[in-house]
Amino acid sequence: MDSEFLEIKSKDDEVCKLGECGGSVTSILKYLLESKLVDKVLTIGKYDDIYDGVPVLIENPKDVNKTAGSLHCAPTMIGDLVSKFLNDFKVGVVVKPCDSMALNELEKRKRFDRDNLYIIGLNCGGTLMPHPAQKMFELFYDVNPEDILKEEIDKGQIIIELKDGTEKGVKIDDLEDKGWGRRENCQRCEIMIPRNTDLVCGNWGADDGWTFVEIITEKGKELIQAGIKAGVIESKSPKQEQIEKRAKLEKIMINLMKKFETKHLETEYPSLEEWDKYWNRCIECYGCRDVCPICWCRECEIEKLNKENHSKSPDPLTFQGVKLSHMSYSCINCGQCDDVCPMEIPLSKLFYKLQKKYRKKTGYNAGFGEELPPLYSPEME
Amino acid sequence: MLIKHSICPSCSVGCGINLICIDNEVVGTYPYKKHPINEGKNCSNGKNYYKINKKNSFKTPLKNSGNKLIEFDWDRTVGSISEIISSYHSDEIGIISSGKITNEEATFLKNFAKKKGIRKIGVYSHNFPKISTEKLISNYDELNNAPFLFIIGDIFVKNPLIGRRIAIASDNGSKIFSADYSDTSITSINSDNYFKISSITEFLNNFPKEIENELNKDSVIIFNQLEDKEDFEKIEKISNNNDSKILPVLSDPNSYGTMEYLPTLDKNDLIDLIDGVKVLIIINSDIGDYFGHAEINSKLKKLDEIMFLTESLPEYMSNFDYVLPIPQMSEKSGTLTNTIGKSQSFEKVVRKDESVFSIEKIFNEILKD
Ligand SMILES: Cc1cc2nc3c(=O)[nH]c(=O)nc-3n(C[C@H](O)[C@H](O)[C@H](O)COP(=O)(O)OP(=O)(O)OC[C@H]3O[C@@H](n4cnc5c(N)ncnc54)[C@H](O)[C@@H]3O)c2cc1C
Ligand code: SF4
Ligand code: SF4
Ligand code: SF4
Ligand code: SF4
Repeated sequence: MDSEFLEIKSKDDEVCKLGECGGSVTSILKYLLESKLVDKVLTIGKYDDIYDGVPVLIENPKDVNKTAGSLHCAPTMIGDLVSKFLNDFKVGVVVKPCDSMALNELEKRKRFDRDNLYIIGLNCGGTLMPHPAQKMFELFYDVNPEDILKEEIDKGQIIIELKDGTEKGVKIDDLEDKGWGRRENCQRCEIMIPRNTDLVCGNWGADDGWTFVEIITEKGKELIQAGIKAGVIESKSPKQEQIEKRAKLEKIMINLMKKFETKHLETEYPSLEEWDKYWNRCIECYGCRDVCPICWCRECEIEKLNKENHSKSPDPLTFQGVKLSHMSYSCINCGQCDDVCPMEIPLSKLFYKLQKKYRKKTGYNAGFGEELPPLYSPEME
Repeated sequence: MLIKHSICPSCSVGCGINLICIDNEVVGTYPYKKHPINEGKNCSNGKNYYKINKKNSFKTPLKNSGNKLIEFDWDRTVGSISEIISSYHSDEIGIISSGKITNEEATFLKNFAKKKGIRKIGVYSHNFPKISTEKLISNYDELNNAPFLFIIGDIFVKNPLIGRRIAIASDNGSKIFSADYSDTSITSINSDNYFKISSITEFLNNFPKEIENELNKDSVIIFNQLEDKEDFEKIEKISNNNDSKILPVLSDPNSYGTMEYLPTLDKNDLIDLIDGVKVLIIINSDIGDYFGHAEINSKLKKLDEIMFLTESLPEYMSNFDYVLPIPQMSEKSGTLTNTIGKSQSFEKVVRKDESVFSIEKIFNEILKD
């Protein structure tokens, strides 16, 4: 169906207050549970504080409010959780673009039944790693990170709201020029509006207190209509200038992304000597494989190579080589491998660079569409 | 499905780990990115700990009968152990713990031993003494920008999340020297200069000038291996000469904490303790690992009774008279003190099987008599 734009807002005052924008996502999730369209919803909630976002599985509609609001210091990934632990249920999931691309790749590999999922997308301008983020707030905002109640990314700034009600903002460019700010993967992330979902929510273009929603699928449309009918959300049509503003912001972000992409994958791409240095410290912990939502071979060939030889690092040609040949064409640049590598090896640069090459050759765009990559064969699994 | 914070119980670094639980069972791990020590990164030991422990877990005590271990119910097991304990003089009873117990359990054991007048008690420390030094780093971040690091042992493989700090330091231009027994190791490959040694003690006795010259107040000596307690003093002395810091990397998740409550035993102390008692209680450690199963087995054979309290079934248990399961780390709450002296509390992630007695309960039952 043609996409459709709406501004949506929760009809529950409490949710409006807790929500990031109009609290629409929270109200829609609640509605999914209340109307029994799903058994569970999977959201991201604060474990201890705003730096500590973890996936939360909710069955009771009353618990959904607790996970309202956006956590920008939570580079989570839910693809593997859905395919490993939730594929027997009907689930409503909230996803950033990297999550939704992972789900798309997993769906193509038949890891779950798409009909069982309601996928609610969030626009995403990037996430920050929790620990460096706290240091950054200390250094550049001169505040105690514990005094920060909320953070948001808006108008090119990372803005924080403090316990005493004051706000402080610093330009993302200034932070990132000095090596702080968003994760590298987010800086070069191509997708800000995940149109491979049922509907996408964001603040771009929205009036204050409203969520800007782009409806993508028929399923998404029916959900919104049902929610309006049930009186849990209200909607209005955005003005043309709001739609244009959103499109303009997306374009600005895409241009910024390209700058980083060139920097990470071309001008500052590690040299062969640098890769050698990285591979020399690999401890063969399988962290990068275990966390990769695309690495899904049933019997891992790398594991078969396992030689229990701790006197040297694995041969990168076989160890990472096997992984490269199995999944790099589907790499979605989610950065989870970099995040968990105990040896700080920037693996995703390698994998993602190859997917980009592969895309150029074959047109295969990881994370989108219904077809598997042309060279993919199920025997690999 | 529920994701819960925990502390990795596999080594002494003190990494955070999220455990994925379904129906009161740990089914996987999830990166704990907010944790300041490891920022979501765990090594395979940490990630697989719950799997291995689950595989080897057991719920019913075992009693040796005709050289075979057979299941024996809890009340009778604890009753028999109480009888044994009360029929020996307190000097004939020994307790050896690992650092795989919480601070609360260690405190409890200390008090138990006091009440029973048991003096032969201690924690096996892999030859490290109780850590009480001004030289200890206070934060792993200190490693990131140290201009020089000197390492004894294969830190990259045994304590990877300290290895990570060495890698960061190296990327920041730090000079790395290391020493170990092997021809090559991941730590040696990642060092600018490697000293293959045959004895740590001898190496420390004749400490190379070229290393000494590099050490200053910003550098750190990292070591996870010693041959005896005196080696520690030698390292401390070297670091005193040039004001450098030290990072002793202990073996167990709560070695540091347990040593605060129980006397430390090095290899010789351990042998003396075993030689001096008739009844031995071993807590959560496969002591055969400390110096070869053959050597330890011949010593254990001489004892009258050996009780073994453990989270998971050991490979070697032919010498034990009783083997009692105790709750796994994920099944209890408490605090663990990591190798830089930082205490972290953790919460129970799954409920233990109701029948399984906690360490406190086992010893309380013994105290009743
Ligand atoms: C990291 C991040 C970056 C974003 N960047 C932009 C942007 O650049 N431009 C833009 O227009 N919109 C962005 N958004 C979306 C925006 O912040 C709101 O989430 C969206 O408008 C919905 O608002 P709401 O009030 O309807 O949602 P709410 O009712 O407040 O619900 C928000 C939902 O998001 C979930 N959530 C919170 N943190 C995360 C996370 N880290 N990963 C996945 N789910 C999470 C919560 O569990 C909750 O279900 C971003 C969101 C996130 C999480
Ligand atoms: S990789 Fe992209 S979608 Fe994922 S968190 Fe970063 S910016 Fe958002
Ligand atoms: S290789 Fe890394 S960046 Fe690519 S999909 Fe896998 S985890 Fe994500
Ligand atoms: S996560 Fe890093 S150290 Fe572990 S196997 Fe992958 S590349 Fe090697
Ligand atoms: S380094 Fe130690 S504490 Fe950290 S994950 Fe590995 S075993 Fe666990």
